[in-house]
Amino acid sequence: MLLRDRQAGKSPAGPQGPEATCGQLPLVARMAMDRPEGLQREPWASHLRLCAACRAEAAGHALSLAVFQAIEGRGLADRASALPWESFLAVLERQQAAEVRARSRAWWGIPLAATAAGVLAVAGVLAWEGLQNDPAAPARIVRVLPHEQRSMEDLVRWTLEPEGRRADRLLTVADTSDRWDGLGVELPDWWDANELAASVTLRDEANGQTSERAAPATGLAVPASDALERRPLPLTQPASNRFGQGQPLFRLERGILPTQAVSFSAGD
Amino acid sequence: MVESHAASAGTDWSQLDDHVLVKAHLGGDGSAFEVLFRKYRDVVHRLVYSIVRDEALAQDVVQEVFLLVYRHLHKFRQDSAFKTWVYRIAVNEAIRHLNRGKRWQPLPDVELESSSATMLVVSSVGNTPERILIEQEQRERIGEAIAAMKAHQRLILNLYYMEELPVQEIARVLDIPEGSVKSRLFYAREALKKVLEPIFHKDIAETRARHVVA
Repeated sequence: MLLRDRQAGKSPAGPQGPEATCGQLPLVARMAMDRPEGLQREPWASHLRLCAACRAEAAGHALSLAVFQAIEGRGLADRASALPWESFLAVLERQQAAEVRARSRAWWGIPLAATAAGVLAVAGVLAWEGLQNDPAAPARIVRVLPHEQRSMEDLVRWTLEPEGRRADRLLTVADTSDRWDGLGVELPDWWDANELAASVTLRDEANGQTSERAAPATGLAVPASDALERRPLPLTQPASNRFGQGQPLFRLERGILPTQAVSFSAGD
Repeated sequence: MVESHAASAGTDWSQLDDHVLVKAHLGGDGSAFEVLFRKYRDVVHRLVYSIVRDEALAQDVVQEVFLLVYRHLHKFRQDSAFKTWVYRIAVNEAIRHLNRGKRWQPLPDVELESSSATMLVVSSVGNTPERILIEQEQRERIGEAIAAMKAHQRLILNLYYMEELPVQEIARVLDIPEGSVKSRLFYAREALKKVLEPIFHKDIAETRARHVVA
């Protein structure tokens, strides 16, 4: 019985007496149709005796269910699986054999993959070392950008060789006559500041140190905390070409090592 | 073993307890699973076919269902019926294949004899070729209408009215609450009545017209 019917005080027998048509089989009665005898229970049986509309609706449900059971039941009853046990067993054995093969592949695959990775790593190291020692390998280029050409266009121009090869490192320096706001550069560990006659101050920004020292007139001052190893610089350009000539200050044939990043700022 | 014992005793497969068979299989009895396979093969096939409505696909699904059952039988908990567990796997596999392939065929040529239910619809016009033709057409229309219902509605009607599973078992098979089973049954019945009523009305009207002409 619908909640609204109960609230309205309607009885299961219907709203208007015998043969009245309430037009709506109560929800509970519909749920009671799970089994044919569900509608034979009270109070739905009484209601159906009195209500023609609900009786017709219940009959429609019963008929449709009976037809469904007849059509579907007969249609499915004759359907037997054509899958023989032997066929299923063959598929099962094939699948199990495939799984065993896959497991064995996985078992051997781990050492094989590890061996392959090791071989590749060794080959990579050997190739890298060979490249480093190969005289025919292209030279790495380090350029020093004069302070007069510190615009972005100049940076771009200066980082390119005439043939279009990009420099591996770009060093920027400035002299004491100018104040330079600094560009991030990387210094190789062979950096020899004494070879550069610019009077600038080197500030180590990699470890957060901001203390600066005034550079001596003959070269760069390197902070004490800066563990730069000084080694002879293989210059290929004369020191006279150092600034403002549009030529690389020096050229490194090979062997640039990664170092900490520092920047230059103008000396006080 | 179990099979030889059953065969020698002439025992029907369905008479053997499922839990005993499962334990025998898990205990290494190679023939126990064959007994389970033979016992549930046709039932699973009918259930799967009622969902996918395609004979070839149903065969494939049945095979996969039993492969899954074989592989996961050690996970089966003995606290529920083996039949329910198998049904659940079958329903899930059938729906998965149905959703994957979107293969949805109407019920092909339903081979039926006259039933009391269909006789309700067609009033007597005598045992004439015309009547046989009418009944055949009517069965085809009804079969197509049922096949055109939503799969989950037909499935729940099948589980309840054909397989005669109680609501609790259907809830376990479909993994839904019992209340949901009841409401789905209600809506499935409504849908069934909705698709069949026009056929009934049309047939009754045609039959009446024939009576008037006669």
